[in-house]
Amino acid sequence: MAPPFPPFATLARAARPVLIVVLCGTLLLLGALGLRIQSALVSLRSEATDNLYWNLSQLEVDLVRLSEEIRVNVADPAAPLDELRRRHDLFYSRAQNVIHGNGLTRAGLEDLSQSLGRNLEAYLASETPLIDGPDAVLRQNLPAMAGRLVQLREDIRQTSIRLIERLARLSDERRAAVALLVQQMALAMATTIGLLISLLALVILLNRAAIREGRMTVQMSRQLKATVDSALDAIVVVDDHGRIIQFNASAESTFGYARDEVMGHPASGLLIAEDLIAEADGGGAARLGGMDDLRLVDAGRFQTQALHRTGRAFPIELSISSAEGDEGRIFIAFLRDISARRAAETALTRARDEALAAEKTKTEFLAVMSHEMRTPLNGVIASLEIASRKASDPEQARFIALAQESANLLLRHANDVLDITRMEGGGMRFAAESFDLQSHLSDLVEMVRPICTERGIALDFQMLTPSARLCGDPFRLGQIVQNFLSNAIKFVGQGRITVEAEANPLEDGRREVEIRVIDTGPGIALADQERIFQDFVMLDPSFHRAGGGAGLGLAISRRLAEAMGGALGVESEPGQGSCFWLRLPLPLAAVQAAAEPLQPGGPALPAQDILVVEDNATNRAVLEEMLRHLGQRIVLASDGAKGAAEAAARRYDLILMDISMPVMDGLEATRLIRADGASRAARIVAVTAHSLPGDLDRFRAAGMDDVLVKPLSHAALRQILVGRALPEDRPEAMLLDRGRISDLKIAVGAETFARLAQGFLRDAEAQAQRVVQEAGQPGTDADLAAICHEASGVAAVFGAQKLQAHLSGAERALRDGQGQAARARLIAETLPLWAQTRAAVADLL
Amino acid sequence: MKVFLRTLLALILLTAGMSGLGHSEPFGPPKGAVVLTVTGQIAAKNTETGLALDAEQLATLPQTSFTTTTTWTDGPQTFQGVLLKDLIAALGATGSTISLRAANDYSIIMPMADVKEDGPLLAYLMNGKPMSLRDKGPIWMVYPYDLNEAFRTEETYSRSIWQLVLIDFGA
Repeated sequence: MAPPFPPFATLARAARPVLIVVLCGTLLLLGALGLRIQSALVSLRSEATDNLYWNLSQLEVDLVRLSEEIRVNVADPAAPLDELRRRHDLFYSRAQNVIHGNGLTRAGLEDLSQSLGRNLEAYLASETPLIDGPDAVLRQNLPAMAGRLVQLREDIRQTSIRLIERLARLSDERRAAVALLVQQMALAMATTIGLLISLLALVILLNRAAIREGRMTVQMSRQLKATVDSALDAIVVVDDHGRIIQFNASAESTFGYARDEVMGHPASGLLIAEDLIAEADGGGAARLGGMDDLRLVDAGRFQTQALHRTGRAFPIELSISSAEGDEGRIFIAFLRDISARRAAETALTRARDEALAAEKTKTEFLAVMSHEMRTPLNGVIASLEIASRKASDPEQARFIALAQESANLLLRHANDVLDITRMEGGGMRFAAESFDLQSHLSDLVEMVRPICTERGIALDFQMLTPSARLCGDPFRLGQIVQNFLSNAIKFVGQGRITVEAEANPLEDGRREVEIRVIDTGPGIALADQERIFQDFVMLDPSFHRAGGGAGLGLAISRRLAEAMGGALGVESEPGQGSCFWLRLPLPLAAVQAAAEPLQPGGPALPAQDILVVEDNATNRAVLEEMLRHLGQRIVLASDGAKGAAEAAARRYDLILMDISMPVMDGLEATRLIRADGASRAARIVAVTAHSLPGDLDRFRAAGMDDVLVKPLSHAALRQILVGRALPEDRPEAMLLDRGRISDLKIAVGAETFARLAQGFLRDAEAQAQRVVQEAGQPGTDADLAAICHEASGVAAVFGAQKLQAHLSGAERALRDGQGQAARARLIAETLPLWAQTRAAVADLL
Repeated sequence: MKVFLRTLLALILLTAGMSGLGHSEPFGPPKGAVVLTVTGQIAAKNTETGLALDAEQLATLPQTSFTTTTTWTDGPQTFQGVLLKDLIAALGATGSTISLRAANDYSIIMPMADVKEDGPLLAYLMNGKPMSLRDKGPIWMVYPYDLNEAFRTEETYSRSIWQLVLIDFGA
C-alpha cells in the first residue's frame, strides 16, 4: 500500500537534480561574466591614461604660449630670446609625450596620434636647430617660424577635432560593450535568481510532500497498531536478535505479561521455557524461541508449547512470517492458545474410544448370543429332522415341518446377526475353492424351483457367456444369490424371475462374474433403492411377518460382496420390476485333479470308527442319528474325560469333539488323546458353535485337525468323513497368518500386541531350540511329540502358521511311528523356519 | 617582473649605501643654477623664504634609484634622485599638504600622508644623465610604477609632475 504520491511531487523529485545542474551552470556563467567585467574595469582603471583631452589642450596651450613669445620677439627684435627658448623647450617636452608617450594612444586612435606625432616631429626637427642656433639667425627666422607655427596649430587643431570625434565614438563603443556585459550579467543574475526561486519552490513542495507522507505513515502505523492491538490472535514481533519489539493486547492476555514488562526482552526463556527449547520434541518448542530460524518462517502453522507468566506451559498454534524493517529483519509470530481446543480434542477422542469400546462390547455380546442361540437351535433342528423322518401321521408331519421352518428362520436370524458381527470385526474369511459358475448357479436356482412352482412363478436361468471354473467362495456367492432369489420370490407375486450370469475376461486374466436376478415385481422407488441395502431396513414392515427375515439380507449381501472385492446394486422402476445385480472379479481356478465338490446324497461312504464326544444329549443323539444314516460305526462319550479315556482305550479313525463341555473341555481332551493312547493319530474334528476368528487356530493348537460348525448338516458331515479339509485349512500356508495377526491387533490394541509379539519371540525361540535339541536326543517319540505339540501351540497363538504346520506335522508323524523321518525334519527345518518367522514378526513391530 | 626585481635590488643597494649618512649641516647658498626651490614649513633655509638648491646640493642628499616604465616614455627608464620622504627628513619639513609647481605652470597639491617609503622620487638623472627641460627636467617626480598597481592610477599619474621647480610645505 504505497502512499499515493501526488504526481507533481514525483516530478519535482526528478526535476531537482536537473535544476541544480542548470543552476550550477548559470553560477559558472555568472562567475565568468563577473571576471570579464572585472577585467574590463581593471583595464579601464589601469589604462595609461594621462587624460587625452588634457594632453591635447596642454599641447595647444604650450603652442599658444610659444607663438606668443615668437610674436613678442618679432615685435621687439631687441627683446631677449631666453623666454622663447624656454617655451620651445616646454613645447618640445610636451611634444615628446605625443611622439614617444602613450598619452594619446588608444586602440583605434593609432593612425591619428601617429600622424600627429609625425607632424610634431617634423616641426621640431625644422625648428629646434634654429632655436638652438645663434640669436641673429633665430631673430631672422622668427617671422617664418611664426607662419609655420600657425600652420602647425591649424594641423593640430584639425587632428585634435578628429581625435576627439574618434575618441567619443570609441568611448561609446566601449561603454556599449561594458553595458552589454552588465546586461548579460544582469540576465545571468536574473536567471540564477529565477532558478534559485524555483529550487526553493521545489524544496518547499518536496518538504510538503514529505510532511504529507510522514503524516500518512503515522496514520498507517496508527491503523496498523490498532489492527494489531485489536487482533484476536496474540501477535509477538521480535527483532533480529530475538528481542520482543511488539506485544499486542491478545498477547498480554495469552501470556499474562503486561506489554512494558516484555518489550526489549528476548522471547526465548520468557515466552518459551529454556528447558522446552532444549527438549528434543522435534524442535517444536524451540521454534518460538528461535523465531529467526529461517526454515520456520512462512512455513505455515505449527503447534508447540508456550510458557505463561505463572510458569504454566500451554499449547499454542503459531505461524511466523518475516519482514525487512529499518533495523534489519523482524519476525512476526501470530499465535493462539489452543488449550481449549486440545481439551475438546481429548474429550472427543475419549468419547470416540468409549463409543468404540461400547461397539466392541456389543459385538462380543452378539457373538456370544448367537453362540448361545445356535447351540440349542442345532439340537432343535436336528431333532426335528429326525422326527420328520420318523413321523407317520400326516398332521404330525405338517407340524414338524412348521417347526422346522420356524427353527430354520430363527437360525437364519442368528446367522445373519453373526455374519454382521463377523464382518464388523473384520473377521470374515473367504474360501478360495474351485467351482464351476454355471453348475453352482444352476444348483442354487434348482433349490428354489420347487417353491417357485408352488407359487406359480416362472423361473429361468441363463448363462450368457461360456461358463468358467473359478476360484472363490461359492458358499458366500451362493448366499448373495439366494438372498436375491428369496427377495424376488417374496415380491414377484405370480410373475417371472430370470437369473442371468456372465463371466467376462478382465485385463488381468481374471473373470468378472456378473449375476442378475430380474423379477417382474412391483419395483422399488428410486428414493428407496439405496436404503434397502442398509441394516434392518424393510420397505414393507408388514411383509416381515409374512416373508420373514430381519431386514439384514441385502445389507449382509452388500458387505459380503464388498469384502470379496465386488459390488452389488439394484436397477428398478416402480411397476416395471427390479434387477438386482452382483459383480465380482474372481480368478480362474487352477486345474485340480481331485476334490470334486461333494454332492449331498452322493455315493456310499466307507464305514469308519467314529467317537462322538458331546455333552449335550440332544446333540449327541442328532449326531449319532446322522452318522448312522451315513453308515458309520459310532461310539458316544458324554464329556471330555470319558472321551479321552475311550480314545486311549481303542483306536478310532475319527473323533468328533465338542469344545464346550463340563468336567473336561474338548481342547483338553484332544491334548490328552494326542499325548498318548490308541487314537493319538486319529483325526480329531471340533464340533462347535464357536466360529469366531481365531477359534480355528486355537483348536489346531490343541491338536485338532478340522472344525465342524453347528448346526450340522449331512453335507458338512460327508465332507468331514471323506477327510476333506475345510477351506481355512490351506496347506503351505503363509509364514504368518495376517488375518490372525490383524484380529489380534484389533482385539488387544497395538501396545499389548507389541508386548505379546515380544513374548512370542522369546517363548518361540526357546521352544524351537528345545525341539531341535530334543530331536537330537534319544528320548521317546511320544515325549518329543508332546514338546512339538507345545511348541506348535505357541506358534499357533501368534498365527505363525507355517511353523505351526511344521511342528504339528512332525508331531503327527512322531505319533504315527515315523519318528526317524520326523526327527530328521525337525533338526533340518525347524531353526531356518523359525529364523524366517522371527524376521517376519520383527517386521510387524 | 624582471624590471621589478631589478628595481628592488637597486633600491635596496642604494638605500643601504646611503643610510646613516644624514644631512646634519645646514644648507649653504647654492653655488650653481638653482634647480629646486623649497618653501613653507621647513627647518633648513638658505634664503628669506626657504631653501634654494642646486644640483650639487641635491646630490648630497640620500640618493635612490629605480628602473620603471612610464606612460610618457618608450621602454624602461632608470631614474635617480632623492626620495621625497628623504627630502622631507633632510629639510625637517612639517605640515599636512605639499604643493608642487612645474616650469610649465602645472601644479599639484598632495597630502603629506601620501608620501611613502618607495615613492615618489625627485629624479634628476634619467638613465644616468641629467634631464633638460626638453626631457621633463631638471626634476621629474616619478613613482616606481611597475612595482605596484597602486602606482598605476590616474591620481599617481597626475602627481607625476615634471619640470618641477618649487615645493611648498603648507599647513
